[in-house]
Order: sequence, then structure tokens, then C-alpha cells
Amino acid sequence: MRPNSREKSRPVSNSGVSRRSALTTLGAAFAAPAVIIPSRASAAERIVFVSFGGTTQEAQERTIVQPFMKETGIEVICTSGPDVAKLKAQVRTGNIEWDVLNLPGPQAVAAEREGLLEKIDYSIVDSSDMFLEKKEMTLPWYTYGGGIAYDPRRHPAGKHPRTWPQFWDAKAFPGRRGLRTRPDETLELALLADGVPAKQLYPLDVERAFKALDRIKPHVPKWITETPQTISLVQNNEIDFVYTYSGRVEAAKRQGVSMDYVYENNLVTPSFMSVAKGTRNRTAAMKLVNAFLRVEGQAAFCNTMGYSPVKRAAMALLTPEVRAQQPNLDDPNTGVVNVEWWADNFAEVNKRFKEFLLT
Amino acid sequence: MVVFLVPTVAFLCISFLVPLVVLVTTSFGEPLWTLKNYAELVSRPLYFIVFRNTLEISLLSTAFTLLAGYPVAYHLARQSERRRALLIILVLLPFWTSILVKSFAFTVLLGQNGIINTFLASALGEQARVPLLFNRVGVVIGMAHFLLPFMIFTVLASLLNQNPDLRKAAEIMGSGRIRIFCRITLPLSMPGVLAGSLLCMILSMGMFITPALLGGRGDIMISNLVDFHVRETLDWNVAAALAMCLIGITAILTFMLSRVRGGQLFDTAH
Repeated sequence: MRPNSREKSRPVSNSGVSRRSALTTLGAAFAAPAVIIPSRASAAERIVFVSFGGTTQEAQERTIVQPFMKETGIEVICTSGPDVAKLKAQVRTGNIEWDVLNLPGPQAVAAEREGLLEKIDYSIVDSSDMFLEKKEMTLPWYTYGGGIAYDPRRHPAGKHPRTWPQFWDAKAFPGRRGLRTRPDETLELALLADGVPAKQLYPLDVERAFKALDRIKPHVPKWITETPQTISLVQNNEIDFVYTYSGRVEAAKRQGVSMDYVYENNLVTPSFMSVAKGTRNRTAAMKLVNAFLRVEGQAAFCNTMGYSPVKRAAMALLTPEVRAQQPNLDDPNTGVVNVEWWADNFAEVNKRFKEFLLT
Repeated sequence: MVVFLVPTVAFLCISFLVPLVVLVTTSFGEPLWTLKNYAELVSRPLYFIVFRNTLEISLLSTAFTLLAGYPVAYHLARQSERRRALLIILVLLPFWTSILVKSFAFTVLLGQNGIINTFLASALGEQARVPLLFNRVGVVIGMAHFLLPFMIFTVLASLLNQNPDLRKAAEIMGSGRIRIFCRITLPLSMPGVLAGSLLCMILSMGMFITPALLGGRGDIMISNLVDFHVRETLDWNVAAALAMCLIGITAILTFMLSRVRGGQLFDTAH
């Protein structure tokens, strides 16, 4: 097929470009990457796992992936920077680079709706005894809490907000606020601040949320795009109170940064494990997904990162220190992000949010 | 001779022309032809504001780059060749650092507690602190820092091209330095100034990470919106339509640039 197409495209230089030759050239261009890396496609027991990088991924590799490789003999190549856009390009061109993906909630659901994921094989994956519901194509495997962080040297007890209504109260708690440039989580925080009970957030009252955001807008000097900036901007004294994740703050504290996190009125988001559609090795990929759900791995990972396991049995294996850092899902003031609602409304609300930021 | 062009042409066809064709077809929708992706761009204020932003930021950065870059180019043109070569290395320094690293360095420099503001506060009192970061000022400073070498080299080339006899003649006739600059050096360097400005405009239209890291909430540029549609809403058709508009604007600027390079715009202006 390929030498043939080369012959067909040869006359292009002197005669005009025929439609057919243009198409075969285009086809060859798309097929090229597949030709360049044939060894990967043929490798039997070798899969690629992609996650967020940084300390989170280091912990995943050490506590779950490496024991899995030793036990099964399946080679797992770890890489970072999961991106639904890249996954879409991989599935479209049939050149799957990532087999197993760790995706944040709304992105996982978006990938599922775009038809980019395989169905999870629950004959291999043991989904029993979970806090959260299992889904057809995406599997929540840990949850992380977001809340208020601040520098205790600048804002000792009583001088910083502890809840979202207080965060919105610039008179009682003067200071520069940091929020994110994304509507998911931010709209929830606005509604919590406006007095909506955490258990009745969904469906989000978008109008009400934007009205509440208008009130906080003058007190937010920086809307943050990159998560590491949520820590560095408090550290550099560019903002006073920020919305960030408990794991990030605990990691910064371990490195000696003066920062504290409020384990109250938190917003909990699940992190999802998924398998790319058209994966080279479906069984091996499902086995790896299952490894992330095993109780010992869950506990070891969460003990390192301070996040929350989804398997109930793993709770008992947490250290007392990490257990104290768990957002209490039964607390009426703890909200859980509904990724399904976001998948339905993300594009529209996000455009409106961008307009809100621009004006 | 033509044989040697084949690898380059083939490379450009595969790496540039094919993706461009795909981009055009994507912007008009697939599998069916439609204008709905372009209709989306006029359907809400978002896109208009961002296009206006992009032009404003690009113009401001270019003007700032010109004001800062012209004196440097002028100074370089007056140096001996050896000294100039040495100084040019300094001008090239920004190219050796990743833009991400530079942006973080700017936080240390321009922040509320950065070097500049700490100095201002200690010299003139606390109220002298000025917001230099997370606003338009920060974006323009960050972008100008990246653009400076492009401006300096283009202007320098046109300054070095000038016939030194003209200045000597003026001097013999009794002209002062300011008069020589205003009547001879500056007008003769205008093609370089125009070419440098257009080059900087084209480069800044596509800026992406600098506004995201140094800008405020209002400093979103077209590239940021393309990224938003590609990665967040997964609407590649609208992303392609946006990219087409950006390419269109840049193409007009590039066309003007090619005219300046050929000296035509300059000639007709006189």
C-alpha cells in the first residue's frame, strides 16, 4: 500500500495535483507516526500510564505502579500531562500512545462523551466496597479536597476566613483573594459563599453564582490558571487567601513553606482512572486499573499524599496524621463536585465565565 | 540547484501545508460544510473583546519595544565591530532562557513585594507601590522583553546600511548631532522601524503563555481562546475558525512586511 502511494504522488511535481494523489499523500502523512514507532504497537505486555506529574505521580509510581510491575511482569511506562485534546488526536489517528489515564473529573466525563474511552471491565476490576459510585467508563479511585489556604505568620488564628461566606466577606477579613480561571469548583464556592447548603449545590444556580462572583471580583487581584501558583503566590505575599488543595499545602509545609489549610467547608473532587479506546493491551490496562483500587495501594498512596481513598477498607490503614486531614464526607458543609453536571454544562458556562473575567 | 530545494519543500508540505489544509477544513466543519463555527465567533461578546484585547496588547508591546529597542540599536550601530559583536551577545541573552522561567522571574522582579516595589516603598514610602504584575503592564513588559532582540536587529540592520558619508557631509555643513539624527538617521531608518514593528506585531499576536502567567483576568488573547477550545471544550471546529482569523490578520501583516522589505511601502510614502 505504501510504496504504491509513493508512486502515485510522484507525478505531482510536473502535472497538476489530482484529488486522488492529494488524498493518498494526506493519508501517508497521517500514517507516518505509526510507521515510525512500530515496536511499541507490537509489544505485548507493555502499557503506558499517564498522570499529573509532580509529587502525586511520584507517589503513584512508588506505591502502586512499581509493585504492580514486580508482581505481574507487565512493563508500565509512566509519563505525565494527561490531556483530553491529545487523547482525542490519538484516538482519531488510531495511534494510541496512552493506555491508562488518570484524569480530573470533568475531563474524564468529557472524554467519555467524546467516545475516547474503553468500557471498564468489571470482571477484572474489583469495584466492591467503594464510597463512590462506579461508572461505565471512568472509575473514581481517590478524592481530593479543596479549601482555604493562607500564611499563618501573616494571618494568625481569627484573622483568616474559615468558611466560604467568610472568604467572601472582605470587610471582616481584609486581604487579597486568589481564585481559579476555571468555572468548575469556582461556581460551587460562590454558591457556598452565598448560603446554598453544600448538599444541595446541584443543579448549580448559575445566575446566582455569577452575582456572588461579582461581589468578590474587586478583591481578587489574580485569577490563577496554573495550580502551583496557588501556593507560590501566597508564599511570595502576592495574595493572602487562596482556594487550593490540601495535598498541595501539606507538601509545601513539608518543604518548610509557612502555610496552613482549613479542613472545613471543603469541596471534594474525585480523580478518575480510565482506559483509552483502542488500547494496545486491554487486559493489561484493566489489570493496572485494578491495582489502583487495591486496598493496600490505596492506603499507601493516600498516606503519602494526604488524599482520601475510595475503598472503605483502606480508611482503617491510614495513619492518624493523614486521617486528621480527611474531609468528612458526612459533614453537611462538605460539598462533592458533580462531574456529570459539569460535563453537560461545561462549554456554555465556561464561555460565560471567560466573559465575566474579561469585563 | 533545484534539487537541493526538494527536502525543504517536502518538509514544509508535510509539516505546514497538510496541517493547514486540515485546519481550513476543520474550521468549516466536518463532515458537512458549514459556516456555523464562524457564526459562533460573532455570536457573543467574548470573541470580540478578545480580538480587541489581542490587537491592543500587540500594539502596546510593539510600541514599548520600539521605544526601548531603538536607542539600543542606535548605540550598537555606533560601536566598533568587535565591541558590537560582544554587545549583541547580551541582546541575545533573552533567547537563551525559557519563556516560562522568565515569567516566573518577572514575578520576583515586578510583584507587590518584588525588587522594584520594595525599592519604591523604601525610597518614597508605602503608598508608592505600583501594581506591575497581573495586569496589562505586566503583560506588556513580559512581551517586550521577548520581542526586543527582533526589534533591535531589524533596526540595527537598517542603521548599518546607511551611507556614513551623508552624516559626514551634514557635519561638514555645520549640522549639530540632534539635527543629523532628526533629518538623516531617523528618516533613513524608517524601513527598519516599520519592518521591526510589523515583525513584533506578528509575533505578539500569537503570544500565549506570557498573558496567562503575567496578565490579569482581562488579559486573555486569541491564542488563549484557541487553547481553551482545543483542550477544555474539545470544540476543535471553533478553535480552527479562531486560528483561521488569527492567520488572516497575520497574513495581512506579513504581506505588509514583505512590501516594507522590498522598500515599496517606504518609497510610496515619500
